[in-house]
Order: sequence, then structure tokens, then C-alpha cells
Amino acid sequence: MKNTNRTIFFFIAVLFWSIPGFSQEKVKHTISGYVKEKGSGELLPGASVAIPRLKTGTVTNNYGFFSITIPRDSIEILVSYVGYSPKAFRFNLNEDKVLNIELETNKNLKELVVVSTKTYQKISDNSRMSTIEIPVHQIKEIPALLGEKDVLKVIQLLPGVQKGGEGNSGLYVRGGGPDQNLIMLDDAIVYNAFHLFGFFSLFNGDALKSIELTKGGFPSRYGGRLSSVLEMQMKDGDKETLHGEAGIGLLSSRLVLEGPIIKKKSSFLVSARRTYFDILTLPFQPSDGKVGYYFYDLNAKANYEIDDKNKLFLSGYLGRDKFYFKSSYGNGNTDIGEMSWGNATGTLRWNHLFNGRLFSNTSLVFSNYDFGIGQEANFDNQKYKLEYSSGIRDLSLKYDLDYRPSPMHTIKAGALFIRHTFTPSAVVYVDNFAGINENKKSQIGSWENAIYAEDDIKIGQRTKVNAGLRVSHFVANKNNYVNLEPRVNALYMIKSDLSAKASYAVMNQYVHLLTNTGLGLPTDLWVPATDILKPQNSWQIAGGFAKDFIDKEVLLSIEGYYKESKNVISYKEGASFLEVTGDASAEQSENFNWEDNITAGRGWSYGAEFLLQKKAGKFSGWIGYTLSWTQLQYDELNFGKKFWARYDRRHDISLVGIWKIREMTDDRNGITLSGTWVYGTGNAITMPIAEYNSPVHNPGISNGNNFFGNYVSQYTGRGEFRMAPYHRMDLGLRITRKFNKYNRTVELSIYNLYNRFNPFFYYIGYENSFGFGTSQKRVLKQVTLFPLIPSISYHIKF
Amino acid sequence: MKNLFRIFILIISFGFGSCDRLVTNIDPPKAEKELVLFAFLSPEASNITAELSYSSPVFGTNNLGEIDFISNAIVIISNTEGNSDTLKYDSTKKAYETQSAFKIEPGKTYKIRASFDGKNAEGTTTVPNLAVEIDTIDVFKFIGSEGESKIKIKTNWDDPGNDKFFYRSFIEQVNNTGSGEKYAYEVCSEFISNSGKEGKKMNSICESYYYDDGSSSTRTMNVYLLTTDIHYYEYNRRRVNYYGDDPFSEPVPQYMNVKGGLGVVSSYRMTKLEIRP
Repeated sequence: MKNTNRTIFFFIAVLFWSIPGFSQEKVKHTISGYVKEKGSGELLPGASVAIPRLKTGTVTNNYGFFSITIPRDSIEILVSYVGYSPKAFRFNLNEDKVLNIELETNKNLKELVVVSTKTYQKISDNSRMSTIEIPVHQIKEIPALLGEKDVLKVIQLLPGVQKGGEGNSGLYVRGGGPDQNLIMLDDAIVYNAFHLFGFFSLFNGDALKSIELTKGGFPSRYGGRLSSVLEMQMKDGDKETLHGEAGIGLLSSRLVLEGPIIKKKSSFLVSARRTYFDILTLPFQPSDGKVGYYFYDLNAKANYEIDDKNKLFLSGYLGRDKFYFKSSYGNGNTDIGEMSWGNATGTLRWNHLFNGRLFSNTSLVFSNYDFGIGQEANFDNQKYKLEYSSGIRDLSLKYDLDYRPSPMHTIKAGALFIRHTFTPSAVVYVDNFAGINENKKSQIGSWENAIYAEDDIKIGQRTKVNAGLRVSHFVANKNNYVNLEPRVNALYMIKSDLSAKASYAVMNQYVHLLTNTGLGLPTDLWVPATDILKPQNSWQIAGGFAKDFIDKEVLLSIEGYYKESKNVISYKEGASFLEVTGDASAEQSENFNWEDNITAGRGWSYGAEFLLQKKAGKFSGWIGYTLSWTQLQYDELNFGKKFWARYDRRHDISLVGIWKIREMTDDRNGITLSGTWVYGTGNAITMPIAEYNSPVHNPGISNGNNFFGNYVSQYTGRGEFRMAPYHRMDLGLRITRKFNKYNRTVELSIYNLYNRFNPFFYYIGYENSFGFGTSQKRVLKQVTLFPLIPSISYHIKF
Repeated sequence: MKNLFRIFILIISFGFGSCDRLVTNIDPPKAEKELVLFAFLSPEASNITAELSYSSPVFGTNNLGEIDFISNAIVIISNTEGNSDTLKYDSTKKAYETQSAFKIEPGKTYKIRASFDGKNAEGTTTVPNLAVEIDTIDVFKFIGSEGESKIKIKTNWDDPGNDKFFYRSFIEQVNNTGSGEKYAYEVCSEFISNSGKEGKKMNSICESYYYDDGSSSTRTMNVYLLTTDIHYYEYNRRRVNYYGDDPFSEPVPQYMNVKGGLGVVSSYRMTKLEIRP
């Protein structure tokens, strides 16, 4: 208890140290306002607002708002944002000033206009570490499987982030599982971010404005997951003109439309995507039997600027995957089956500006994920129907304050209340022949709440600290958990472009994901912490250096980290998610107790990450390298011994290059060539090495000689066998041309350029694939999902 | 529904044109043939039995499909008091059995050592001192949701509480045929330890179908409570959860305590009650 009190005292002291009012300072005035894109009015989060002479500055928050309070003086203010031409303003500051700034995109400039100041944003003076911003335009330029642009797959190319397997969009961040990532779209938690069993993610970048991944050194405003926060903001929509983009590819077609509702006051954005494999195959299917699959996404956002101090945003996402089959046997006899899953989110946000220094955002958020599988058969007027479904539904209220009393402080504080409703299983079972009509549903309600405060403090000219405290609270059934989560990021400027950074963060996770494979399968089940399954908890320290090569617009980051986790969950050996969803009868589904099949353990992860990144310019991209170790230990797994996590990856390399060979002009094509190369140590798996007779003892008289023998496998130790390393190269070529008012883009891409046969999984087969029996030699075989795959897509911008 | 899900997975796999091929860029894990020794010893068992076979490495030519029993090994059981006996192979039972008056006694430690073709495998077990008695059995017959006859049997006992205890509750239904022969089959089996329940009342609940055709006079149920050593408990508990390799679940490695080979040498005590539901 003494230690807890000391911790609280320390953080309160750090937070309020030298806040105006606590210390005497000169007369100051505040410059505040929004940074927007010229033309569309799109608010720009993360734009830099600098006052070079005072060697101070700030960045815009998620809503494009900035505020800086400085001494009365004649000042020059410089505003910049990646991909936009910077702007400078000079004026005499003798009163508080509102300054709404519009930046013009670089591509709107004529080619001969010389951009006098670089748009580069420094990393070395950002107090946060382990955070990477990905420019959205790069998502569109990086080649992708079947031409389907995918945010999560681009994030997998960053150091410290690994993918689970071939084609899989799941993120493994610093040794954590895919369940330990907080994926947020406009403040709404997205619980299953995958289409088609994880081969594609929900996010293709069309509707996104900003993407930021935090792997460690979490500010206290984030919580609820152990390993990472992926925060995505949707575009607001153009407030000036109506325009859009349409695209057609091998797998899907998409459409984006945005424009004003009330010019300069209100705008909307709609983005939709749907696959059409099911429609294309329809003519080739028999009339009495249909099988199909599709997925779709729909993003929509509208905003309204009530006045200078109040803005409203309404945004939402709706997406669903569906497999189905339908068979007709005549005389009204039918057999229909389907499996579908999907997310729906909705966010209503109200930005309020109390004054130039104090900004608030209130969000009311809805999020729902559901999975269902079912079959209905009608034969001779008898109906048989079995449906299983599961899911999670959140309703949350979030309030955030952003207070910027001086350039020395950026204070953020807020509160979050989430009402989770978990549905581990809902079963509908109708069998007219047997006279059964059942409808059973199990639901668990819980509250997850948090309050936080953090301050980004500048101490002198060389030191910055972001310190904060989060108090998290969770209650489900009669289990009540309260935890303190201290967070610190510190920076010391060694030179004007070189800094040393360190961070410490404690995280708690109150919702668990039951998953065998980490593939992002729709059957993965979210469940609350209980008295048996305690909340997951981790602490992480990280340290490193950040260096800016300002002339070359290149940043370099080297970080080392160590993370310990406890109460991380896993299925017990032999337990399977099929037990949760695949049971043959309603009764068995009802009897399944997920807690009986889960065990909790500990995890250790440590490593080093290297990133050399160029975000903009004629040639952009990055080189990422990760050296890491991840081990797990569960009393009930592997006989209690530590083992390598399946996704433990000693070496992980990614090279990403985007070369704008030629900019598009009125009479000339624009050409962009891009390529990626990835390498990763093979997954640590468990392999059978021998088989042997292994009887179950029968103590009764029901077996003659007390033995009934059959074979079991002898395995390597858990995770002791390494799959072959994964590597692959992709290439993309974008050719853009102007036709009257339209820009059209043809994109050619090749996935797996040198046709590497990467293993998806291994199995034991026979050397002669048509042979079987006792004389056949058994060998190790692999299944490869994606050989060389070329694709083409066509987009038109209007 | 499980099949339905698998069908969807298969459609996806083939839909993406997956191809399979021989792995040539890494070596498969290697394994040698090993002796496999199993024995479940009990003072309540009618004899001492040990089973010896060879394991078959997965990769390479092998005799998959047929257990490679070893019939001419030397298998010796001994206790810490220096008594020993050589077990003889019974080709009918395909197991080694004692031919002498060598007894398994509560609380004593036994070692079984098997030697064959230059290989030695041995395992040791200490027989539980106590055979915890069944206290009561509650029986409840009811009609299930599909109109079927069902039975719930609750076996109750008191945990002695002065040590770690491992239990197996085992129930079998016995049909007594008119000719005097008995036909029995397993109904329920549950493995429970006294962890967190030391010295308390314990129970095991078994729910099963019960085919009541009115001839219950010829139908009985044997309810067994086994007090086991940790080797018996850990091995059998895992073994009954082994359903083969499944890409959707982690493998279940089998518990072993045999040195120089694979398998388990373990022991148990047993009490039994017969009920007529």
C-alpha cells in the first residue's frame, strides 16, 4: 500500500510540476486553431506547428486542433504536414489569436513551384517512442495480394510487428498475440478486423485519414490491451466539392464518394467495397444447388461545424463475410447452410473548444461483432434448424480533455465507460420430427471503465517527459478489478537531431480472446475476465535512440524492449475452438464451458528494432529489422516448461520502396514503381516424431485384458521445430493518367515475384502421393497458399 | 456443424489454389525406435501386467498400423525391499505377467525394468497407501430434451486431506445376459485431484443415456473410485483427451515417467460399489 501511495504521489507531482499557476511566468498569449487541407477542409491530425526562434512547437491532435501559449512577441510560426506544402506566418502576438490554417497537398502544386521548406517532421524531438505513423498514401502505393490494399498487411512490414502466417493479417506486436492489439476506428473498438479467415483486413485505406501504431511507451489515454494500439481516423469528407473514386480489381470493386452537405459547414464520405466471386460463379452453378462467398465493407462519415467552437462527427462501419450453400430437391425440400460474421461500429463525436487552450471531445460509441453458423433443412414438411452464434457488443462513452497551458505542457485527461455484452453462445434448435424447439442464449454483461491523466512536459531545452497515470476498473459478475497503470516516456536531446528515449508502461487487459490458431478466424471468441481467468497484465520497458537526417528527410530509430506478461491465456492441450462452435447438438453447445478449456500463464518478450524510414519524396519507404525472443510458460502446457511462442521470430526484415518515377501532368502519365521484400524466421511449431502404442487403463470389467491399444504421437518439445524461413518479394506498378476531369489509374502487381513456396502448414504424407499402407515411406510435406500471383486493377478518380 | 465448418475451410483452401509439395529445404525431425513400457499396478488388480512394444519413427519406412509388440524381452519387477520377479510374456494378452506370488502392496515402491536388444527402459511407482472409500452414490433418472432416458450418478467421498490425492471416478454399465454372461461398457470416467479441496467432501457427477427397457433386474452399474499416484493420474487424464493431430488444436503430448524409453509405470488403489438404478 505504501508503494502504491508513493507511485500515485510521484505521478501527481510530475503531472503538475511547473504548470502555470504553480509557477510564476511572463505575460503570454495563446495561438490556437485547426490545421486543414486546402479545398476539402479535411482536418489534419499530427501536423507540426513550430515556432523556430523560440525552439518550441506543438502538433495538432486527432481533430486537427492545436494550441500554443507563448510570451508576447513578434513571432514566425511554421506549419507543416507530410505530403503537404508548409506554410509560414509572421505577426506580432499581443493578444490571444485564432489561426485556422489550410495546407495544400504537394500534388496540387505545379511541378516548377519550388517548395522552399521541407515538410519533414522530426522524430527525435517527439517524447513518445515505439510509435509509428504510416502515411495513408503509402498504403495505396505498396503492392498487395490480388491488388487488395490492406492497412494491417502494411503494418506487418514495420519492425516489432510480425505476421502469423502466409497471407494472414493478424498482428503480433513485440511478442503479443493478435488479441492483445487495441484496434480502433474513430474511437470504436474493432473486435475482428479480418475478412476471409484473416487473408484480408477490414481496412483498405480508402476512407482513412491517419493510421498510428503504438507498440510500447503507451500514453495513459490508451488502455485495455497489452501489446499495441492501432488508432485509425476516418476522413471527414470534402467540404467544398463532390468527388469520388471507383475501382475494380480481381477480387472486389469499390467506390468512394465525398462532398459537402452544406458548403464549408458540413460534409460526408461514403466508402464501399464488395467482392463478387459469388456473382461471377453463379452462371456456372446448377439450378438446384448454389455455393458462394462474399464480403463487403461500408464506411460512412458525416460532420457538421455548428460554430467555431463546436463540431459534430457521425461515423460508422458495417462489414460482413458470408459463406452459404443452398440445395433444392424438389417438392419444397431444401437444405440451406451459412456461416457469416461481421462488425458494426458507430461513433458520434462532439468537439468543443472551451477557449484557445482547452479542447474537449465527447464520444458515444457502439461496436458489435457477431459470428453465426447454421443449417436449415426442410424435408416432407418437417423442419430441421440448428443455429449457433456468438459475439460481443459494446456501448461506450468517452470524454477527453486536451489542455495546453504553455509550450511546456500538453495535458490530456479523460474518462471512459464501456458496457460490454458478451454472448459466448446462443443456440436455436428446431426439429419438428423430434418435437424440439429450443432457443438458448448465454450472455455476460460487464463494465470496463478508466480515468486517466497525462502531461507532455518540456523540461529545459533538452528534456521532455510524457508522464501519466491510468486507473482502470472492470466488473463482471461479482468480480471487481481496479488497477493502477503508470506510464512514462522520457526524451533527452543529445543533439538537435539526435535523442535518447526511454519508456515504461503497465497495461491490463480485461477481455480475453479464445483462439487456437491466431489466424483471425471468425470463431475466435471474446470473453470477460472472471475469478478463474484473471485480467491479463504486462509491464514493458524500452529504450533507444532517434535520429533525424533532416536534409534527406529520413528518420532512424533504434529501440530495445523487454516485456513481461502474466495471465495470458491459451487453450489447454487438446482443446479446440471446434468444441465451442462445432458441436453436433444444441445440448453439447450448451454444455460447453469455455473456462474449463482455458489455462493462464506467463510470457516474456525482448528484442531490438531498427527502422530507417523516408515518408515522402520521389523515393520513399523504409527498412525495418527486428531481432526478438518470445517465450511462454503455463503450468498446464508442455509439462510446465517454458516454450517458444509459435510466433517467436528471431529475425524479421522488411524492405519497402516506393519510387515515383514520374509525376502525372495534364499531358503525361504518372508512373510509380513499388516493391517490398520480407524475410522472417520460421514459426516455432510442435511436430510428431514417432508413434507408439499407448493404452488407456480400464479398471473395470468392460475390457478383457485391461488394455485397448492404439497409437499416439510422440512430439518434439512444444515449439521446438522451426518451419522454413518465410520470404517473398512483391512488385507494383501504378500508371496514372488524366482524362478531362478524371484521373484513371491502372495498377499491375505481382505477389510473390520469385514464386517462393512458403509453408502455410506442414503435414505428414507419403512419398508417393497415391500410395498408402505399411510399405510407404512417410515424408514431411507442406501446403503453400500463394505462389506467384499477378493482378490488375483499375481505378478512376472523379 | 463441425463438418460444415470444415467444408468451408476446405473451400477456402482450394479456392486459393493451394498446392502441396515435399519439404526439401529443411530436415524433418529425427527419432530413433524406442522401447515403450506400460504398467498400471494395484493391490486390487488380479495380476501384475506390463506391456512392451517399440515406437515407430514417423519419417521413413515403418510398420504403421500394427503395434510392434516385443515378446522376448527381459522384464523384471522389483521393490525397494530387494524382492523381484521376472514377468513372462503371454502371447494371448500380448503382455508380460507375473507367474509367482509376487504382490503389489499399499505404500510400497516398485520398479519395472525392461531390457531388449541393448536397450533398457524402466519406470518407478509408489502405490497409494489409502484406497479412499465411496461414501454415497446419488442416482437420478430423468427424460432428456429429446425425449431420451437419461441418468445422473453422483459419486461422493471424503478427501482425507493430509496429502495430495488424485482420483479417478469410473462407471460402467453391465448387462447380465440370460446365459450368465456379462456385457459391460464404460459410461463415465473423470479425473479429479484434491487441489484446493483438501479434507473436504468431493464428488464426481456422471450424466449419461440410460436405456431402460424394463429389464433392469439384469442391468447393473459398477461405480469405481480409484485413488491413484500422480503418474497414473497425469498419464490417463491426458491420454483420454488425445484425439490425434488436429490443425485446429495444439498437440497433446503424453505424460511419461519411463526412463530410457516411452510410457508410464504407475499404480492405483480401487474401491467399487455396484448399483441397480
